[in-house]
Amino acid sequence: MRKITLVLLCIVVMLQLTGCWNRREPINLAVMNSALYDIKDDGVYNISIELLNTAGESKDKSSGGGGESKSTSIQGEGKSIPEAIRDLSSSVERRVYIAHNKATFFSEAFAKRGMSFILDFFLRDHEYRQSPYIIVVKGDKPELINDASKGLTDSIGAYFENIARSQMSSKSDAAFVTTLEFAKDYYLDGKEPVASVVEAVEEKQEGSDNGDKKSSGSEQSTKYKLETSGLAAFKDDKFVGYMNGVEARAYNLVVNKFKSAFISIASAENANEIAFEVISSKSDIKTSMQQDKVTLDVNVSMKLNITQYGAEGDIVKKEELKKVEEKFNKKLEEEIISAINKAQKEFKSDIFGFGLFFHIDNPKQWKEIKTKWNDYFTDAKVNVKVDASVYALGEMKKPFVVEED
Amino acid sequence: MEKRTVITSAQLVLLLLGSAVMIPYTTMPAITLPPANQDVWMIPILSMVYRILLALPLLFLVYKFKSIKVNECFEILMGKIIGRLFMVIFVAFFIFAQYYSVSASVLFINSSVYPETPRWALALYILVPIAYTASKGAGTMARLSAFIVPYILVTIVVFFMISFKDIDLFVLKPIFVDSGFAKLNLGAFLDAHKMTELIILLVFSGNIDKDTKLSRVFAIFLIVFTVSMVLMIIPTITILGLDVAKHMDNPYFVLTKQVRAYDFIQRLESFNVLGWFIGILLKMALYNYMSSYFISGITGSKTTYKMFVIPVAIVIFILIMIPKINQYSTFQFLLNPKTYAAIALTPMVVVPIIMCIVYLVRKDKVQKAIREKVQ
Repeated sequence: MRKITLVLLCIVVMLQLTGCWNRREPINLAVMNSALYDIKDDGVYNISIELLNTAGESKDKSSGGGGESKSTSIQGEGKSIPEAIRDLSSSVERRVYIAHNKATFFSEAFAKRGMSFILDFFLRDHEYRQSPYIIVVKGDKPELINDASKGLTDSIGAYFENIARSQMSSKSDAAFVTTLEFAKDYYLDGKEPVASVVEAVEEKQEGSDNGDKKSSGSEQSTKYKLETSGLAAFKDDKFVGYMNGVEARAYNLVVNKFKSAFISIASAENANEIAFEVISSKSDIKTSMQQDKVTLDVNVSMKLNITQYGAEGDIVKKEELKKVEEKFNKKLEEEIISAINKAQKEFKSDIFGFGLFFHIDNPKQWKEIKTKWNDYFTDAKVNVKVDASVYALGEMKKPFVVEED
Repeated sequence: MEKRTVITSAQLVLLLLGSAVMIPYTTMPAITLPPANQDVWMIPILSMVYRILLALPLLFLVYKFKSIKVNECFEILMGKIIGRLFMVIFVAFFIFAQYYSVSASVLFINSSVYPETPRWALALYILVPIAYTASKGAGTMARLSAFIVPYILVTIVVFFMISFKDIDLFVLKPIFVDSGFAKLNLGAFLDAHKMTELIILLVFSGNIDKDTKLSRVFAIFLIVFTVSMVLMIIPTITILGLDVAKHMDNPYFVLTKQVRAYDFIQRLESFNVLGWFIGILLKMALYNYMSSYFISGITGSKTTYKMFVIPVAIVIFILIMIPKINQYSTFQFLLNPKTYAAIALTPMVVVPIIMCIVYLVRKDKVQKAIREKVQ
């Protein structure tokens, strides 16, 4: 009896190993790499998803030139997002698998309508991870990003994931925001969310057709490249405007997300620039309230390395170095004030999260004003102080133009 | 006559921990309790006081009735009829707690891991190993806990360490300003109510050696449990953000999905799922065992708990399959910490207090009966 039970048990266990209701055979999956959400004037949602071609087959073999495409795009339409997603199934014979999604793009029209319902969808779905970047596509033709050059990468999702890493560590002039970060900021009292930005910028050049889109009746091929600097500002869940690369850099400095960048200032003596590499930066924010007016004090300290010195003065001399540092401080202060003013006057949205600091510094007053914080932020007085100091001059003791004594 | 299995102090601590830690590991109710703001990480620390206070009557009973079976303890103290009536209360609570845990597990698996697998299949896959483990008895479960619980604790520490670089302590500011002492205490009190695991001590009193230092067992359990809870709550609310975490059914699982390091350490949530699955099986096996044990106590000395293990599992399966009770709104009502606290109050506090009072009133007779039983 015991042996029979054991044999039966073994059979039952072996049957379990064949799989279950939720088995996923890779051969039956269409792996999504990125998605573009758009809404048309008639209220119809349009979803375009980029699928990895796991078999390595090119959908359009006639394109030639650039070799086989590793990704392909399909579209779906519907009166609601789930309907549009269902519509995708008529364009692909496999089950769309979204767990490997790297970037989620939204058209401006979509972002202006509000993001809360799509965030609910993202956070509710068990397959969707919270790591994909949230990106607003600049311009009224968001689908152009699919035709743009993706550098050395084959898919726009992978491209965006890579550029997020390299651009932040080299320029810090963009915001790369994941779904989780966006959702976190959306819920926070005292901070409004921001998203990444991408734009397909046209670059005209003569030459052969390398498989890119060809404009009719012209010998020139229309090529697009992706421009990712800047950020998209939101108020609650609605898109309210863009910041350019310089403003986004100032944003990163204030919110302590700045990693590294080369910043140059014009020298007084001639047209040559003095270029600095920012090694590190740290901002410190203090807030106060007097007579119903909020004051925001932003202090940014930075460590610099001189990478190119175009001026004639001797940088080794203390007073010369101080002059250069002051000039740098002034430039950065202006940039930061300009970015904050844009958020105050144009967006009327505290994307910098000053409200969070006000909550910490003035908890009692915060309880009274938190529902109207954006109004207080709009009228707030902003003081910015940048304290940059040069730590290294590179491999040279003296500027190239200054002779050794 | 069943052979008496002795459970060591270490096994007792692990059993208690394995059962208790599954609550934050699965649903982390502490973050939704008052004050439900950035100060929620203080709740486990503050609730230590309430846990001790609520545990005192139970600990007192276990201390006095060490080496005596729980049904005998009830009969000695309360007499046959009232003693069995009290045991019915415990059985009802264990069946409710088991239903609650299985239902929460099915919901978690359905929403986060296997959405297409039917409810009956999941319930069956959970209940069969539970019934098997419970039928093997206290000793097996105690030995099992020595494998399962350290693994779970290690995952908590490892996830905390890997996610440490992403923890933004700024989220926890301002500290203790928005909450108020009363709100924090209410949260701590409701959280302490959830820890009905101490009943394990009462049920296993017959397996505890006379030399076992119960206060030490309880102290070690309480400290390790509190530390584990803080190690789970802080990364969850700082990395996910408090509001995102509060919106999630299984916030700790969502946190483990975010944990990554050095580009190659990622998608580690399967370690969490593994720990959760074996941990929840142990917890539910314990509840099944305890309910079967009490039923055998009610039905008389001729029956053994083994006879009731499968019937209890079948009852749970039927409860899981009744659509009316398993509507999301009903489940949310049961999941509400206040509802659970109200239900748990009777077996956890009210009955033990009554029994303690009876013990003190009938002290001499009871002690005489205990001596007779031990001999």
